[in-house]
Amino acid sequence: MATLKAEGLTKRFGGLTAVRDVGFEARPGEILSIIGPNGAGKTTVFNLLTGFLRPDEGSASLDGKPLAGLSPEARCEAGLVRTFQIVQPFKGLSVLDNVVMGAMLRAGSVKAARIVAHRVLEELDMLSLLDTPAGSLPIGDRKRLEMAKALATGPKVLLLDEVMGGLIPVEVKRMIAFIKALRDRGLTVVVIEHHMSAVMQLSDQILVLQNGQPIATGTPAEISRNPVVLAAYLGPNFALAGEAAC
Amino acid sequence: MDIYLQLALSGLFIGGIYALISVGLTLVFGVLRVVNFAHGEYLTIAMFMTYFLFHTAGLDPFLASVIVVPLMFLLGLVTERLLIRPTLDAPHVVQVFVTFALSVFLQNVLLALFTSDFRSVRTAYATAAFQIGPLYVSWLRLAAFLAAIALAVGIALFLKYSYMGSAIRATAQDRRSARLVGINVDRVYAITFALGCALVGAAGVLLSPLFPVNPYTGADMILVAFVIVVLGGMGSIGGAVLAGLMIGVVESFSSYFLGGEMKQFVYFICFMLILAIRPVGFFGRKGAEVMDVT
Amino acid sequence: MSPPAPTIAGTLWRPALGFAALALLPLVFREPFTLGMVTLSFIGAASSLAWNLSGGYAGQLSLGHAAFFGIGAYASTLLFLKAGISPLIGMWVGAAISAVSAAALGAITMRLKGSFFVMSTLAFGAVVHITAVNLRDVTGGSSGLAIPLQPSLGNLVFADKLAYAYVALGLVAAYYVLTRALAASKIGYALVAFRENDDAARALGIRTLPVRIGIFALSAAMISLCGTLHAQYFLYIDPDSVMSLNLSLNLALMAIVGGLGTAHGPIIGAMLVTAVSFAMQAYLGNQISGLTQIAYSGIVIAVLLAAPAGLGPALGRLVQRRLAWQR
Repeated sequence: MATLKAEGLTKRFGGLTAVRDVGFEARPGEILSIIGPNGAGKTTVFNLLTGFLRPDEGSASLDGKPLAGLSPEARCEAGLVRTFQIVQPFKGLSVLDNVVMGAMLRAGSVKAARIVAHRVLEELDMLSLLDTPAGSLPIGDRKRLEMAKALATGPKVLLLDEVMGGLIPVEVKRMIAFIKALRDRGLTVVVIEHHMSAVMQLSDQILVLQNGQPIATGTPAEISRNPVVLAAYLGPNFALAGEAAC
Repeated sequence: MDIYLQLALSGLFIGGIYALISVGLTLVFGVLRVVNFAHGEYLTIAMFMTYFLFHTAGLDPFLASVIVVPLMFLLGLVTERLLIRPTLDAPHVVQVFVTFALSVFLQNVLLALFTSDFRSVRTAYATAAFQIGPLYVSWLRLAAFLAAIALAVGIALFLKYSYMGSAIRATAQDRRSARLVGINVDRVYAITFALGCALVGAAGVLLSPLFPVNPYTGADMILVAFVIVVLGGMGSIGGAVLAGLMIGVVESFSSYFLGGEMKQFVYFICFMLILAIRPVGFFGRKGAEVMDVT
Repeated sequence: MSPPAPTIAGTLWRPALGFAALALLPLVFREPFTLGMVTLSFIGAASSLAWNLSGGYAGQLSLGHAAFFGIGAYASTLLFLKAGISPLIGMWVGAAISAVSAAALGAITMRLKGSFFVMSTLAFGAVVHITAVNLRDVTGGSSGLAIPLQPSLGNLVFADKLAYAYVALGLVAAYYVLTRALAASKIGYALVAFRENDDAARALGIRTLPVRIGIFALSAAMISLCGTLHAQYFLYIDPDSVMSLNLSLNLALMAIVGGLGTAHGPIIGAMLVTAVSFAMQAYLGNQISGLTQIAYSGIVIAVLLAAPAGLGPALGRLVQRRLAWQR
């Protein structure tokens, strides 16, 4: 299990600074949530962490080992895996084959990968969908598939980009329970989420971004009472909702 | 020394027309994200049109442009509607092979109609020239060059300042957002593709009095257009113009020193060098073309 | 327990039956004209299988594969004519040259998005073709090279044309088995992952670049062997017949028609395309130049617009719909 650490991450696109000086430490057995309004730079942070973008400044490390210069593939091999906000299934392939793709990383053969994929799909209660083409799944199942693919790689750190988006309340509840179970297994989990009640139930730590900059960090209780956050983002009614959820 | 200057000048002149061919190609790629492999055949078609207008109606090639360019625009609209639009969301293989098959189709239709004989437009003023110091300048080539550059600049201004131009640029940036702000993306695609064809049509008109045409002319030209588009940065108009002029000069020198048959070889080497050293070209946006971050 | 892989393992009796049927074809169609058709469709099938490995499974569309076909044809022929080396050895030299040049080309262009790769293969094909035409001292230029008719196994020249059909069929079978084996392996999965969604593949730690380059080289070597066989069959080669753009297009066309990224697709496609082209040649002759190409490219466009996944799968769906309707 591993600790993911980011320090001073900064990314500029032309004149626009998408992410400025973002730092955090996500520890094993802990769920860190990154929240903020649309365009706050949350997904860019994931892209920087997973090597899809190169930071202009700052660095990230996994268990003290710097990630700089590593390709997305190499980072995944090191145990850092992500899901995409806009889900990226292999559309033409079956659900099983999608997950097999993930399992291939640490499996010696296709056969071994298929066994791993099966196990993961069972955990996510998706066994009935094995042969369904990924392109024809409804959004809720696509989100679960995205998760299954990532888990099949056998990660130490899981970065989840809005896995609750588009889910119905029952599905959200299941997803929350599942993510908590992953944490209790000792995984380090970082989530980007808009679903506030889910964030409040899940998080051990919350990092709030606005316009690419961190404006607050703390526990859900602290964040829900933080006046800066309330003013900037959550809205006046939120404190009540947050307390109700906790 | 004089010979170098003369070579540079003639390379520059032909480069202007290469640039115009490439501007059409790069525009279509930049907006629709489709490489039109039949672009060269549109050049051939425009040259044939000019040839027949010249020989049957006695129309001067420069005047023929008034008919040829709108016809090419129309042809572009039809192609976009029939072949490009239905395949825009299709897998890459379908997009590539549709335009590639179109190229083979058109080439062979032309072959069946006109055989592989070369046909030339011989104007009375073809050999008119003047001298500046040691340099020998053909009026025709100079006029073609100036017209090509004027058109390339014109299209750039159109993109920058007209409403349609802004819509095209917005769509090139992000088709979803463009749709959200009320831009008719389908219309933008149709117009862009047709513009690309009109530009290559204009290039065909300008090329007609300089080069004979046969059904393979466009296929020979398309390779150089690819090199130029990649060198300039795919989707960049300014890049295409600059690269077109450069490749024109390179070709002019290589033909002189290595012989004309080596032309393709030189293109290929240029192409590989660009891809190996700077795959985004002069003005390409980084990340648009390169997949691996490493 | 892991379930069977529906895409890959399947049942074996169907391909076995298919190949048994193919083996009968040369005996059934024994007339020189029809035997030629069968033999060429086999060579086409093997070539298209080679193309399909990279073009179909990985989606790396090469429009320059004819260059590797031609390298194979010229390497074995030149080694035989100039140095007396048997084509049985020469073909491997050609395959090695093809593999190395493919790997070099791929290493430069495969880091880039699809269109660049397509353009670079097109340019590569053109350059090899031009080189073969212009190196008159070595290749004989446009007038080509003839291989003397001295039948012997060592010369890979047979008096009975039937032998070529079975050698070609052997190649088809070998390539089919190789394709199935690769498709079912980690390599096959990596290729498909890249084709389907390369960002997703990278996020899951799948390194596709070395695999794609390796497969491109293998594919080039495979088609190179087909080039040698083609030369031995016709006993004559020239740049237009063994390295033209039309040849590259045809290989792709066969795979597209039969179904891209499947092991049987190129074989079915090769049969259909070759039969159609022979039929057209028989009925239309060469009255109007380019008529075959017009029909070909028209068919490709129609197939792509109507059934982007190929005729094979589309026909399958049609049959299923019929059956469902009857029930």
